[in-house]
Amino acid sequence: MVGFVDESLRDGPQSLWATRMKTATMLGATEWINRAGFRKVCVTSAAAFETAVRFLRDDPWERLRLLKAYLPDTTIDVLMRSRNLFGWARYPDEVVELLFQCLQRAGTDWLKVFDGLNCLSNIAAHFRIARALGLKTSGMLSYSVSPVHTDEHYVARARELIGYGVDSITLADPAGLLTGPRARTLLAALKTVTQGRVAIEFIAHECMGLSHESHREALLAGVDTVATASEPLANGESVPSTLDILAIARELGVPADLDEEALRRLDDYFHWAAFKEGKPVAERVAFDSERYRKFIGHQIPGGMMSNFRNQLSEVGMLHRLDEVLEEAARVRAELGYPIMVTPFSQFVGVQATFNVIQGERYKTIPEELCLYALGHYGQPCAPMDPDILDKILVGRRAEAVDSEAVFAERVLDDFRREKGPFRSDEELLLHLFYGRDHVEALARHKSAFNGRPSLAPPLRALIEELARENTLQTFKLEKGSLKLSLRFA
Amino acid sequence: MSSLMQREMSYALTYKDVVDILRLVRESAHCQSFELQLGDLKLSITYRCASDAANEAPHAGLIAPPAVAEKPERAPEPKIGLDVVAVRAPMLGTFYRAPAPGEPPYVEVGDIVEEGDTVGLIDVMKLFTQITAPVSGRVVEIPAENGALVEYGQPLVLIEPL
Repeated sequence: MVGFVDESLRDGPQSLWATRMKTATMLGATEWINRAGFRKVCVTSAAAFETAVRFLRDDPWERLRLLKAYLPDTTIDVLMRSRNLFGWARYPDEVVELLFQCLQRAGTDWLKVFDGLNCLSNIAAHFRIARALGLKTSGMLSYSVSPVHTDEHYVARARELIGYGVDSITLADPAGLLTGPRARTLLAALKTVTQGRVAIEFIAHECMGLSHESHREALLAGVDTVATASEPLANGESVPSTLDILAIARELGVPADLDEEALRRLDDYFHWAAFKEGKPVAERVAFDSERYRKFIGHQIPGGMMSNFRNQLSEVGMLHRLDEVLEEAARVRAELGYPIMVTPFSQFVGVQATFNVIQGERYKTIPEELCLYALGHYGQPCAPMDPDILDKILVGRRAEAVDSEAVFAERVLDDFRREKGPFRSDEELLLHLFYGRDHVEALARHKSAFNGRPSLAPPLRALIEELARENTLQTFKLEKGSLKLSLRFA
Repeated sequence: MSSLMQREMSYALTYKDVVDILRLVRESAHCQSFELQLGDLKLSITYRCASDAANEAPHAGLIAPPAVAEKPERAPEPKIGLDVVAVRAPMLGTFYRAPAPGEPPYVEVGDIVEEGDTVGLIDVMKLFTQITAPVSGRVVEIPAENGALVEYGQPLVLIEPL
């Protein structure tokens, strides 16, 4: 039996809609999501929380409570990014604990936690704290292609996670790099560590067109769950579609307990939502070996690539994109092959752009990259290039970082005293992550919800839309038993 | 409409069908008429002539046109004397004069700075990079506003070397 983790509300919007799915749109899907029989439903992440506050002006805490209320039979899952939690700074244990308590009160059952360097000492406390609260945890290991991301790397990290008492290990392939054969050997290696005692979960993106073949291997390897999304929120830079992977499972004889009718209705709902929101619907990706070969060097994620193009075209250097990408491949190696997820993809991408635009390497260095070099983000996957390390740290006191001391810091009392009082811990956390201005703007502009928004059935929706067209004279539609004829004044 | 009837209609016609039909309606709006028969679907549309439509309000599409990213208005290039050094933006980004909101700015006009002192921050793709003084001297002007989107090469702080 394979379980499905739904990512229609989290990874789908994050990969395809720049995370701009409104609470109202999510609530419209809950009837079908709740009925579909997913093992878990992932509902939020750092990006979703921040976008809700800063751009959508949806209260992210209220969103969680509403989703929990309308998904009464569903296990709620939340993605957590290392020490950044839902913000950008690195926060001590005290903040981790407060955030987890608030998430639990808002209905969260599971947390899946990752660190972009797979440096697990950064997140050991997360598992301890979550367990003490009675939350379930998954330790997420991100896949990458590099000389250091070997089976041995993942086996050692998985062993470490099991030592921290995780309930499952999630193998994540954020850039969709896992080929079928590689997925097979890697999952086999992980199984030697878990010995069937700790669940293995699998999430892989479609970016390179490999997600179906990697999922086939994952299903054959007997993973406990796969992560998929409703079709209009699947494919492209997102995860594969639920019905596609369900079809592969059926073909392989792997049982899955999903309600197909509910899944079809969910797809249909999101087709409408995407249309109304003016969002594109992505397609399956055709594998292209040349594109794959080029991508492997820099591994700049798709979401960032569009940002990158904008930046370069603004300075009139779009024609040098290839050069910047080659430089990004060099920078990535020099920094010790960080996995190209937030924030490390930015470190590599921004530094490569500076290097090319300024015509001198490492002349301008972002502050965060200096902190990375000093070890504030933990142990790089491989040691940094010593010459580059010298360049970055020139004129800086290279003091060793005492992570334990940083993690144990007490910051909340001071924060309450200086910026408070706050009406709740939830409000305090929003202030801590996003600052007063955004929280106040949210309070002023946030949308109010009185129950689940109602949606006109398809035929009425069609007529309402047609009524707004001013180019039509007559409109006739026949489909099955349906006949519709309209003449416009 | 009774709920049973609604349910039957939902089955006869899905939202996906509605989306496909509306796309066809819009994409063929420059035609006079449009006929389609595909499987059990029959669609027949006639449009008003172009001159009629031209007198009407502009096409009230549902989807807002993609917001055209407003280009930052290029700040007028301040007069930079021969004896003044401009600290320029290394990249397109957001310029900040202070280390954090509510904190005092790194420098004010009239301040004396040493070479390598931080005079501001630039946020490029969420990464903050310190902008440092290339020379020691006196800050004579800060043409870039706090929180403003600045372009590559735009002068941020002017320093008169001492």
